Amino acid sequence: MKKDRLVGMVLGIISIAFLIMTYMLPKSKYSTAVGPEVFPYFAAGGLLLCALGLIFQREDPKKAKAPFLDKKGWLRVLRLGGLLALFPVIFIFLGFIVAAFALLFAMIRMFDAERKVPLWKNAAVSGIITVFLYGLFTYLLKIQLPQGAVLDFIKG
Amino acid sequence: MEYLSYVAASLLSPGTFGLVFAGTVLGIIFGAIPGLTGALAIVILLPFTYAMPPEPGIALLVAIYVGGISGGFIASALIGIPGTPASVATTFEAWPLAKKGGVMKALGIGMVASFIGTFFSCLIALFLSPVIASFAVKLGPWEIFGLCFLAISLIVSLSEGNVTKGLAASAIGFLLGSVGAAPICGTVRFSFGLQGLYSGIPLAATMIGFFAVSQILVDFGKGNTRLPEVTKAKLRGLGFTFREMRENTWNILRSFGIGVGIGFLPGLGPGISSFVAYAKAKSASKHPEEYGKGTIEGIWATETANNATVGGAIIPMMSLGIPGDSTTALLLGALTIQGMTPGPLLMENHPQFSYVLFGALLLSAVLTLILQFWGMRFFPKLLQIKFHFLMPVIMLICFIGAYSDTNSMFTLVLLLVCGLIGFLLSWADIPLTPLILAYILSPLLETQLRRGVSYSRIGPWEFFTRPLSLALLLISVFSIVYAFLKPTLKRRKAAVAASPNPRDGAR
Repeated sequence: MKKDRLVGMVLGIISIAFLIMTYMLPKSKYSTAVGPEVFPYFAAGGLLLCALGLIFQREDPKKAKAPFLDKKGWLRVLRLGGLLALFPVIFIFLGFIVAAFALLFAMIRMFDAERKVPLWKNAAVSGIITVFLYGLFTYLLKIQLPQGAVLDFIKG
Repeated sequence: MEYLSYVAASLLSPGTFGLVFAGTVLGIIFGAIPGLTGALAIVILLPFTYAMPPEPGIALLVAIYVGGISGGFIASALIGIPGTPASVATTFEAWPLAKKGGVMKALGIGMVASFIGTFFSCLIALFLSPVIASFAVKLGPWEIFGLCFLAISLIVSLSEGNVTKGLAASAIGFLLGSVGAAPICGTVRFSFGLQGLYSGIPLAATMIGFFAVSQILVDFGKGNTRLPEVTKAKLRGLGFTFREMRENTWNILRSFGIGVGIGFLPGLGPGISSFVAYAKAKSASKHPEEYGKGTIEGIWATETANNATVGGAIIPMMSLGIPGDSTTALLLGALTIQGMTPGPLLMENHPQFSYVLFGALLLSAVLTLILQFWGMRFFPKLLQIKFHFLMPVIMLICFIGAYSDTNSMFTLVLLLVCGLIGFLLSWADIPLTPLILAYILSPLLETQLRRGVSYSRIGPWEFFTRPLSLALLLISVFSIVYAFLKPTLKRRKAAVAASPNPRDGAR
């Protein structure tokens, strides 16, 4: 299946889902002649038309493009995506300092494909940046970063 | 004039001046490094402005904007890769000139042309924006709706390769903007029972997710984690003579006009203005055969034009509340986060703030020139920053930014979801700029649509009976229809050009 057709089908499903959800919206007592459902109807309807356009448009065979990512590239994205998805979990339970250090350490290791950065240097850079950003946000900008549920629990 | 002393006192206070200085430096750095842009720097620095008062906060962000546009030419001259999309046309001349030993000349012209473009276009914006704003306050919901619609249509019509995908992107932006309480009546839509979505998807999470997280995922997937070697050269003096500049006076003036005009129109931007100015300079040149081989005319034209779009794009942002491109869309978002309502009333209700913003633009243009002149010898080092240290720090600041916007872990999840959607849209070749613009403008567009119908005796027909509103809607429709027909017209033109002339056969 051609990519645009697949994209069109996914967008079509999303637009139909939004059209159904818009239809199910409760009617507001305060709504004017144009209620809260009109704008989403236009948006979802427009998306549906675009989806149909993508499904039925003729593809130019001359426009063959290089693949977006190769197999290794997709694996890299999957690895990084997994790491990023882990961050909020560590952030909630262990707080900013642990989560930030872990994220920096793991990401520097991932991005340094040739393994030129020794582990001690990676740990030192991650530690310094974590402490610097924590200090900057907490003490200078007065933005509180969480200590983590575990520490909160221990402190009672 | 009455605000001059206030603006001077505000901008020259150590704190604000330091922020403008830091913003300019950061903008130049992000502009100079290929793959990073001033827009990304604005997204990253956004969380730092939450705790600041509006004036220093926005001064920091506009300084990044100015530095970011200007810094793009540095990589064009030193490694032959444009630092930003705005500097693509500059590379055509700056890189061949650098290879011939004219690195210094390319850098010097880039610096001065950038300054001329930014400084004078911002001066024009300073004087023109209040005039347009005073006219804009007289507009009704019908005309404002038409203006917003036109801005989105123009950006969609410029979606490279596929207008359908540009339209789909704006429709997705409208749907994302519809999440949460509806304007006017407050009906909660598409929240799935999640309290965190009652007031909509947070602006910071959306902007950071779509612009930064998705970009980091794409770059890492493609393995874009290293920069090429930098051209080694002796960096001394300004590199060009006053005579060379005087010979390009008309070229500079013409490119400046092109930059301001294109910057003013929503959807176009520094990338397009630099190409148009380059083409005009080449067609007007006495030596067009020199183009592509390192002529200084081309560098004067492209760098003046792309920097002049800064002032041009600021005019609709300040006077109408409509962003001209993705970067001004981010600035508009930053204004909203700071509690300012962008649009014609901003200049009327907050004149001091507005003039501080213009002052920051002018100050950062001057600082950019000084910093680039002083820092020229450090540019090669700038382009040797290791991606494996830079990217993780950017990612961490993105997380902090999204979290500190709402102090909620849920925003981190939304950030990742937006990043994932942005990545998938990049895979699908769906442009992100129409999406972000539609998302930012959707509350205004919906409010004006609902007001327009409510205030009218003839319902929605009022949109088509008022001359300005009708004209704006017609231009919008025409731009989209033309964009759809453009490839067919181009093919026909090419076919006609390729077919043998029947008269030739008759002979």
